[in-house]
Amino acid sequence: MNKLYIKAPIVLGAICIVSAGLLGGVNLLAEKFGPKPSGDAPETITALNPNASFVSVEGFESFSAMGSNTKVTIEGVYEMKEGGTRTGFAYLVNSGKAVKSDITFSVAYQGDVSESTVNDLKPLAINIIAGGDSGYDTNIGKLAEGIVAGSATMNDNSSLISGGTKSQKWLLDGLQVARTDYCARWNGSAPGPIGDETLATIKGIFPTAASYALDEDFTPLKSKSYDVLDNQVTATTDKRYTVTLDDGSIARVYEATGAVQVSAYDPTLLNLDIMVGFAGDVVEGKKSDIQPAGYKVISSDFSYSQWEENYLPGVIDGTIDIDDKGAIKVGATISADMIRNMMVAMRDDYYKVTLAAQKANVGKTFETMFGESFKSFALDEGFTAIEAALVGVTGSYKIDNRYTITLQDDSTVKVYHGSVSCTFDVEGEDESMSAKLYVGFKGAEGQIAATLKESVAGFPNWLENYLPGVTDGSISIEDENAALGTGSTYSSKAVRELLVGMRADYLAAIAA
Amino acid sequence: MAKENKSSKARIFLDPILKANPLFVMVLGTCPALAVTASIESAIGMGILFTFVLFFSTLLVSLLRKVIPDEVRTPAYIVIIATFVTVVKILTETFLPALYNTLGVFISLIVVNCIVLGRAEAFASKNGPVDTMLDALGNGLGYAWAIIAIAIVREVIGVGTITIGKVFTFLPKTVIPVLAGYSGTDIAFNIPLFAGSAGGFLVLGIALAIIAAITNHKAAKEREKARAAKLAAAQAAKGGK
Repeated sequence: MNKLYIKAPIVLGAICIVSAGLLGGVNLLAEKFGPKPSGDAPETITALNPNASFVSVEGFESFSAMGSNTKVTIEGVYEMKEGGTRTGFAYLVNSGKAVKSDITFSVAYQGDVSESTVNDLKPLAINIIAGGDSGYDTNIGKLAEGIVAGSATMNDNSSLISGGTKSQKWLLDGLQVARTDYCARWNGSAPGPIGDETLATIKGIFPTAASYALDEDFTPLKSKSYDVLDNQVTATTDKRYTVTLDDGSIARVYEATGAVQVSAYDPTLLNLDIMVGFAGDVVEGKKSDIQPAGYKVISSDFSYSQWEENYLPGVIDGTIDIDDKGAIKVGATISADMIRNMMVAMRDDYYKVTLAAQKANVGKTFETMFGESFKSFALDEGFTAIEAALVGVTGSYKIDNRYTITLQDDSTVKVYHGSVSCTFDVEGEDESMSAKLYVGFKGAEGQIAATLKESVAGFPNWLENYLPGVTDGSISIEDENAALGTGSTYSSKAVRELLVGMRADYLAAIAA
Repeated sequence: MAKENKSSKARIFLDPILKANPLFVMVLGTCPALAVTASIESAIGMGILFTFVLFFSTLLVSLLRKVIPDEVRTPAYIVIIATFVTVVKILTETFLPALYNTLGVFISLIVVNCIVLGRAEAFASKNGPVDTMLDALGNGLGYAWAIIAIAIVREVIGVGTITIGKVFTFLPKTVIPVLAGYSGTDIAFNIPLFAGSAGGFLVLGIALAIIAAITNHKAAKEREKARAAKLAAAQAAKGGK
């Protein structure tokens, strides 16, 4: 027995020592003769394709882009090589709202792709690293497996699995953003950082947005209310951007956060981050005519989003009035009501700020038109906009506003703001012209006092060859043939009809 | 005597392959047989790794059978088996990463495969190294062909094609159409159930049922033969009287 106490540990110890030695030797052997890991990619990337090597793309900087549902950040891009040949790219992606069920994953795409076939491209592999809706995070994995296997699609929401759909949508957003980058990168252009995330979002509302500026003097708009179940509903619009569109016009975009308390006994809040855009002129006293031009949901905790499917489309296309509380019958009344409150506050602010800007601009316009003789102006409230089809050319004109200008010598001039557009055929080609003008009339016979071009698109020759003559009286606006030979005959004819329309109203106004 | 010895060694090698197959007859090692048989390549990989571990660990047990005290033989065997499993794991991870990722935890679980510990305990600890090597090879090959057979049925019926080069990446990647996947055609016959876990149970169950039926049939025949011989002997004895 005593011998066993000595022999057993010796034998076992010897076996363990030999075993350790053997393992150490094999390990050294593997390190010496095994393939050297090439590249600098983390395991979350290399696991996407064990046969490939991954090297981070030189000079890459993390960038963000907006998906259909949320913000996506591409944190890393790696070139995938097999046998020394580039076969694809792998991405490290974070998608969704940080802290609250955002997801981090890696994805690899391989093979040829073009802009026309990009929607057919499916990932080689997806590796979910972290995140997802609590309790339903396995569904992201199942969706990812389905997408890789081809049994699920990443192009729309039709393959979402019930439970945790929000983070599944975020996965789709991330996959789509990475795929867009892959398409460009594979075909030789490295898009790199998109950079201005805010501009990218604003472009989602106004595709022609050229630039924007944060309105520093904007005072946040806040509201707090309680629904019938005593749940707290808050809406805070904390930023306003002035956006310049490609045509030089100004739009405004509001950035807001809404929150709905889950229940009176649960302080958890469901949040919504949204941007809403407004565009176009406003008419004094007609605030309720203003409707939002578009919106972009930045992130949403609401899984029940009928307000987005049933309420907002009606608001945007003008069939639902945001002042109409009764229009909210969409199955998500609390969140829809919160958005309505938010939009009404934005609309009121837009009306106020745009009207003030319009007035300031109009004042400046008249200063430009009349120079030092300008004294003051007033909008003719009783004026009704005039619209008419053109007679000599295909097109129409519209006279929006009429102002009474008082000059330093206390004489008055009526200034009209109007627009005209026409289409015509030039040597077999369809051409068009549109213009916005300020035209002032004075005297008993309606002599043109001053004109100012606001904008012109297409065929501008009439500005030099026709309008000056009409303004200084050397060309009569009655003379239909005066438009001929101006170098833009059809445009001159169209402008003449606008002027005739304005003068007719002027003569009627002074006669009254 | 030499002939008898030769025949006994052949039996040691061949019995586990057919008559005493560890999976189909002894019903041992069923977990990996269900888990890694969704594809033929992974089954081949598991078969090779399993045979390697079984061969070297039982050989070492046989060589050390007189040195290892009986009272500590089980922990000693486990250390030996675990060592070879770790060797296999390191080598696979280094040289065949695709196989390593495919088999995953089932490489480590070879340690607790009852065939390995069973052969070490029941055979290697009582026999010399030559017999042990034959027994290990027989059991390894017997287990390997059994899981490969299951994998063939599952991959062919479950997927409709046989894929080569996905796990053994040194081979050119080839997809051989069997029931589906013919180029330029819409033929796509396969039953995905067989590629899933349930398919593993189903195929193993059917295989066990067929083998049990054959074995029972053979046993019944043997019994019938023995009875007939006994009857003939009894009648001969009666006639002699």
